Amino acid sequence: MKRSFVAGFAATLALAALPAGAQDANAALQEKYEKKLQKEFVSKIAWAHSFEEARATAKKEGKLVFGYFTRSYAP
Amino acid sequence: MSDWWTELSQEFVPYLNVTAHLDDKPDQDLLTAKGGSGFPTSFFFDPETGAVLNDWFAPSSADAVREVMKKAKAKSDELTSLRKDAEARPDDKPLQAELKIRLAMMRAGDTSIEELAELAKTPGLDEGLLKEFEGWFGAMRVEKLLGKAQMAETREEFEEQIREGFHKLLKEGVRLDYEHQNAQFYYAYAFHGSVDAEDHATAQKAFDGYKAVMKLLVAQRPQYKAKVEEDLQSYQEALDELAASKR
Repeated sequence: MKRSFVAGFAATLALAALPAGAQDANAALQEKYEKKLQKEFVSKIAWAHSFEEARATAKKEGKLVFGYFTRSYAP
Repeated sequence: MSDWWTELSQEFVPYLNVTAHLDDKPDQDLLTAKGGSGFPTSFFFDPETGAVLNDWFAPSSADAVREVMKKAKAKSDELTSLRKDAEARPDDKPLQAELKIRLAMMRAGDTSIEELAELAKTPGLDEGLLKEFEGWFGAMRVEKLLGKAQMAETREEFEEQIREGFHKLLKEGVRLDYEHQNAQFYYAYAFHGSVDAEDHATAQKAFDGYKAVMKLLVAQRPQYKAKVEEDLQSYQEALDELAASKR
C-alpha cells in the first residue's frame, strides 16, 4: 500500500513539474492509451504487456512470442 | 476480433506493444530496436534470445499466421542448435563469430556494429552468410547515420548531414535493397550529395538506384507514374548538367 502511495506521489510531482499545456497533452495521450486497452482485440486475449514477461512465459511453455505492435495516439 | 484469432493465440505467447508517446509505458523503443517501422506490425520472437524470426506481416487468417509461425519455429530451432554448438565449442572462432553475426541480423545480442565489422573478417566464415551480412550491414550503417542526423537542430543541418553521409556510403559501395524501407530516401539523398560533391560516377549509381526504387513504386501505385517520370526527368537533367560541367 505504502509503495503505491509513493509511486502515486512521485507521479503527481512529475506532473506538477510540467507546464499546463504539456499536462493536457499527456492526459489526452493517457486517455487514448486507456481506450486502446479497452478494445476488443486486447480484452479477448491474455496479452503480455512486457517483452521480458512474454519471453519468460514462452520459455516456460516452449512457445514462440508473437509480438503485435500498434499505437494509441492515432487511429 | 475473430474467434479464430482467440483460438490461435493459445499456440504462442501473445505480447502487445502500444506506442503511446508516454514515458511510463513499457518497451516504447522495442519496435525500432527490432527493426520495425509503421503500424500495425507483427513479429514472432525467439524466447531465449529475443531474436526476430520473420519479416513483418499482417495476421489475416489462421492459415497465414500458422504458415509464418511454422517458418519462425524452424528458424528458432536452427538458432537454438547454433547456440548449443557455440556453447560446446568456445574456441571455434568462426562458429562464435557466426552466432554473434546471426543474432545481430535477427536484432538480438549486444554486439556493436564496429565489433561486427571485425567479426566478419574471421577466416572460415560461410560465403553465403558473409553476403547476407554485407547487405544487412550496409542497411545498418544507413540507419545509424540517419539516427545521428535526426539529432540535428535544423532541417537544413539534417539534410546536409545525410547528403554528405549517403554520398560517402554509396561511393564506398553500400547498396540498399530496392525494397528496403529507406531505399528511396537513401538513393535520393546520395544523388544530391554526389551532385554537391561533383561526383558524376556516384551520382549515376544513385540515379540508377533511385530509378529502380521508383519502378517498384509505380508497379504498386500506377497513379504516381506521371509524377515519378517528371521527378526522374529532373534527376536526369541534373546528371547531364554535372557531366557537362566535367567536360
